[in-house]
Amino acid sequence: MKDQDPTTHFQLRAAQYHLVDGTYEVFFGGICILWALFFYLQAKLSPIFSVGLLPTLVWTGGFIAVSFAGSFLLDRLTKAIRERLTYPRTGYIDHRRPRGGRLAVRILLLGMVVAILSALFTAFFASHPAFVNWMPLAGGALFALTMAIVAWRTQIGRYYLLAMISVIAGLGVSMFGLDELTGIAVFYGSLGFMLLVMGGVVLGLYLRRNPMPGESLHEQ
Amino acid sequence: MSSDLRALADVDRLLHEPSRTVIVAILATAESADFLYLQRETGLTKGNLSVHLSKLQEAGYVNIKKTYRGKTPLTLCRLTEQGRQAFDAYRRQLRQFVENT
Repeated sequence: MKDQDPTTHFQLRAAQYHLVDGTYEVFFGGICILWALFFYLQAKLSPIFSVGLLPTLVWTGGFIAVSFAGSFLLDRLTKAIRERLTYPRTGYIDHRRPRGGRLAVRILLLGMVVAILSALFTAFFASHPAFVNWMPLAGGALFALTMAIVAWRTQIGRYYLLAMISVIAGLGVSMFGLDELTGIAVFYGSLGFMLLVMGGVVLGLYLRRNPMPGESLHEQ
Repeated sequence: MSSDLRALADVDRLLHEPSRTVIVAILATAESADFLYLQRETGLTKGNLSVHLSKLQEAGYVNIKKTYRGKTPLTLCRLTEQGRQAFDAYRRQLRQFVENT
């Protein structure tokens, strides 16, 4: 960091803390696998169940339900991993969350960014039809952007690697000539698998570097 | 005594101690942190950390809550609003001094 204040080192470490054990990757990897299964199912069932407004509503509602339910369950799972493995080893820290006006501004900004990107992608796909499935590349670019922001804010290098992997996976799947839904399913499946592998490796290294301290360390 | 030196002499002495500065800096980033996390980050012994936390608590800068997670004792430390303001003022004073010298 450019700031010479020595306390910023400790503050940066505190900000990085929820990313050091690999559970963040496990969480996102799990979400990606769920999305992959959802899109695979949609690709398989679309020929039978796709015409009309009802299927569109069912698939959209299903995607939202899978995303929310999956996030909830995976959040519980990663919290359980942290409570059993991380906190007893290296301690617990609860990060400050934006509240009130700041939270509203962040949600509004996020909504605006998503809306602008969706409009740009729609316009782009409309003018570049068919021969390449652009959806995985778009998904890869969005995920890469998210990871790059995380890497930049926390200064953890492996998130830049994840951003690169995401773009490569998106580009690779786009060039495969799969239909749109299967392409998205393969993209999220491969990305989820890589995230789970990376999360597992990081968690393994973290556990090796931080053995469980004696019981007395907890008592004051 | 120049005004810069006078400003430095006016810094909060309770915070102007490396271990306590680090403790408060961590707690300023977090909503709360437990004893184990603070001990690992500061490298202090249990006894020393307890003493520093007690001093910060007495000054009203830190709120300490003793609880349990499962069967494990858990000491959660949280910076109070007073502590947050004091730390902001302390950093401001130090930065001002460094910039002016």
